[in-house]
Order: sequence, then structure tokens, then C-alpha cells
Amino acid sequence: MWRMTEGFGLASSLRRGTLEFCVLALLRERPRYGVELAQQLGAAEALATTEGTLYPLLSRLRRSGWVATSWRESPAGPPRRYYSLTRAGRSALEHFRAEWVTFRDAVDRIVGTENR
Amino acid sequence: MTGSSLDRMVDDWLARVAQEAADLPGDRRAELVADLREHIAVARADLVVETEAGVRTILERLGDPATIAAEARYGGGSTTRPEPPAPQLPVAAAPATTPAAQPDRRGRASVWITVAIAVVAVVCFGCVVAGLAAYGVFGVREVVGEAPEPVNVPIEVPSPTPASVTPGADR
Repeated sequence: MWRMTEGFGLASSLRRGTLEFCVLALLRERPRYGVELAQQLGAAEALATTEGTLYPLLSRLRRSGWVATSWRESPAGPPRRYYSLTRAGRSALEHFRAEWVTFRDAVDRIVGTENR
Repeated sequence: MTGSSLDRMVDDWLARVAQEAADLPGDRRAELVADLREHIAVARADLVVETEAGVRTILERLGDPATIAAEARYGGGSTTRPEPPAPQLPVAAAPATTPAAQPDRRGRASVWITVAIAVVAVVCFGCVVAGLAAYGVFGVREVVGEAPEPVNVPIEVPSPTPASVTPGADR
């Protein structure tokens, strides 16, 4: 399964399992629309990915029942599809938060990055 | 560049995405293209002045259609499609045999289900008949003429039972 072609490097491997939870976390306070999510993720350099790949990810989250969508009128421009966190999405995020700390600590200990 | 030629630029880009995602199920491909079209429309509305450079930047930030399609392909994993269909198997033979084999297998399964239901039904019917016969129903009683007595006995038995239970409950 390991493919080291363009776009499938180390950074993108690390993003693979975590980016969707970053998206869930961005939706924790309030619903957001696609362009807004892309901007937020783009602002975090380590998470930066081409914006287009966000949509397959959102589609996946929607099919998992972790996010729901609704259309809202915009003061300027076309109506926007807003993504919001469902109850299942919220508990998936909480589960990830717990797992992540354990995971991060274990990797830090073994790789030797505890005090960085 | 006019608005309509910018539209054409966007349409061309979306057509490339659709082409790269040709192997995805139709509804997933349509959803992907619709999501991207919407993103572009929203981002274009945010441009202060709509220029060719502005629209081009929006498309560049979205990225390479092939990369987006690859992500969508990977995306099947989490819920519906665990893996894309095995690519190395004889490609020409597989589609020819699979559709024919599946209905056949399904047909055979339904025959077995029908047989199983029939067997269960026959057994149940047999049990009911045996049960009724054992209780002397089914016309046997009328013919014999003696049967009513054993039937009446169990009906009379329960009536004293509540009377004897009630004082016990008071204690």
C-alpha cells in the first residue's frame, strides 16, 4: 500500500488519519462552509493541502454521518452549503482527542521528541 | 477575458476532474464536481474584481484534478467501498462472468430459501395437526362421544386456584 509518488509523501501520510479530525474540530464551535474550511486549514502550514482534496474528505465525513449539511443564503454571492457537526461526529472527535494524546505520547517517547 | 470565457475555463477544469474521476460511481463523481463547482462560485463571488488571474488562482489552489480524484478514490474506504475492485485480474473476463454468475447464485439461493420455508411450514403444520389430534379436537371427539370429559377437567381446575392464592397474598 505504500506509495511514495507525488502527493503521497510523509507529510501527507501523517495528514491522512488526522486531517478529518481537524475538520471536525473546526466545526465544533459553529457550522462553516467549504471555502471557509479551506482557508482555515490553509492557514495551518503543516496541514496545508490542495484545497480540492477537502471535498472528498467532507463527502466521506458526510457519508459516515459525522457531519450534516444545510444550504444558507449569503449576503453576497451564491447560497453556501454549511457543514455542521452531528452528535456522532462530536463523539468521534472526543474519541480522537483521547486517542491522539496516547498516540502522540507513545511516538514522542520512542522517537525521542518528548522535550522538543 | 469576459465572464463567459472565465466560465468556460472553470467548466474545462471541472471536466478534467470528471475525467480523472471516471472510475468512481456516477453519484460520487457528480457530487465531487458539484462540490468543486460550488467552491469556485463562492470563491469567485469573494473576488473584489473578477479577473482571469483571480479565477486561475482559485483553480490552482484547488489543485491538480488527478490528485483530487485520487483522494476521492481513497475516500471510498471509510464507509461504502473498502477497496477499488482488484485491478490485476483478467479485466475482460471478469465483467462478462460476474453479472451472469450473480443472478445464478442469487437464483439458487432463493430456491434453497423456498425449500427451507416449505420444510418448516410442513413441520409446523404437522405439529399443529398432531397437537390438535392429541387434544381430541379435529372431529375425533364427536365421533368417540367420550372426549368432552378430559377437556372439561383442566378448565375446572384453575377456578379454585385464585381463591387459594388470594388469602396467601394477604399475609
